[in-house]
Amino acid sequence: MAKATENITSDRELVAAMANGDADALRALSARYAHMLGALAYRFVKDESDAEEIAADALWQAWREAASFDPARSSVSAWLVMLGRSRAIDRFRAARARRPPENPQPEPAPVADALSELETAERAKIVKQAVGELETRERELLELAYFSDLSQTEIADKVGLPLGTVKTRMRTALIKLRDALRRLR
Amino acid sequence: MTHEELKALLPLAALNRLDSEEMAALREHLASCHECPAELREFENAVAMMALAVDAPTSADRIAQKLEARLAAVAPVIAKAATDRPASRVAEPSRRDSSRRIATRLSIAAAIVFAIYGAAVTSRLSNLQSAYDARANQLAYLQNRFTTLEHDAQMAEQKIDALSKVLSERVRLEDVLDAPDLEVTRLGPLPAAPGARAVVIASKSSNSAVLRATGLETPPSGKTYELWWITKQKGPVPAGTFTAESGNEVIAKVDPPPVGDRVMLTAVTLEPAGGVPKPTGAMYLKGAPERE
Repeated sequence: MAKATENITSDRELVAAMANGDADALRALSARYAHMLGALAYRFVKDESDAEEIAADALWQAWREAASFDPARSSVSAWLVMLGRSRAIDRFRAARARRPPENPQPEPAPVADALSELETAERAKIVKQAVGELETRERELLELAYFSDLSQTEIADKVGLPLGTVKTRMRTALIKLRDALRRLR
Repeated sequence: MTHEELKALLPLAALNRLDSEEMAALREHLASCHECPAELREFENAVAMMALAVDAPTSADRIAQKLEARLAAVAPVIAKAATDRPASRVAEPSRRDSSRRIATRLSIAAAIVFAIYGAAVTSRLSNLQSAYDARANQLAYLQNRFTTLEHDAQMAEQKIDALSKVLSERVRLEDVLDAPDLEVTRLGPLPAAPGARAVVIASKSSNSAVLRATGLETPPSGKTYELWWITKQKGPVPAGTFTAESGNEVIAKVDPPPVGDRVMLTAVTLEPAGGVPKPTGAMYLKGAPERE
């Protein structure tokens, strides 16, 4: 499987190409991250169609804003996730009704290439293993931090821990997750 | 803040869970530190990867189709070029140049139209978003208000239940007071309850009795007050248990005096919860029946 460092370099090149109007670069980026963005959005909206719409919105926003992406500030994956998560939270809050299809569907696009699918599946397996190594409370805090729009204080109230403890355990949990991902790759 | 203190903020920064002051301090530090930006990126990647741990029924193919629809809608030539590329390879060079010029002009025209249309759509979307936000805030306010009203209704119900109980006890008292043959026994305080008073009203004809007491403290956990008819023949006869709340009067149904025996004294003692057949605890109130 391609290593994360190779992907990071390739991802930046794709975004740079998107900034030059290369739609194939967008298609390649979509092949890598559509599944992840869809899964992320689904955690918030719990609706398949809405989640796919949100993922497409995030990738479309990346296409439109590719020229303003600063690789010094963020990785491509973190940038995409930030776009997707922000849209998912907005949708979750507004609870917008499902849109009916407006236009006839175009010809089906080629299936995401087999290598990207394989890479995604392998990465998913590694991440699940790394997340599985966390303690239950650590996993719960990370999921609340990531998959909810609750403030830190609201999370502390929900889990019944002091705010300072919540922050410390979140920090510890993410360090453990990062270390596990380093080890398992 | 020291480098180590700022470095310790990186995980929460990756989770977007820093407050504004911490974020500002970290941003300033990142601009000049060689180590922390790479570490922050690693944490951000770990956070981003968490989405892969989620199983969801979404389809990457359908997401790709949605993107293709958008590409087709705003730049038909870009979408068409992706599928026509094999054919263009076999075109004559001059024809290919001409096609490319036409494609370039069309794409420029499309971009201009899109830019104008896009600006109008963006403005409209912004207005719609503002309206959505206002509605969402309104809905959140109404939901909070509903929750508050629901809570108030529950509190009111509890008060009604408590008042109903007091009312039923008063009705019971009045029932006994209506009987023609009332025997009244007033109980005075003892050192254990210097501020307490009680009156027991009994009626043989209705075979009922009621106690009304004031000034009794809430009994300790596991304890209860018990009333006694101390009779000539049988000695102390239990007449029922009752509890009290400090500061509140007590009205309780009790057993009437035993038939065929003479009551010499009436007393209230503190006993184990559930009552006992013979008094064991301290006496709080006592009194003798009022004889005519």
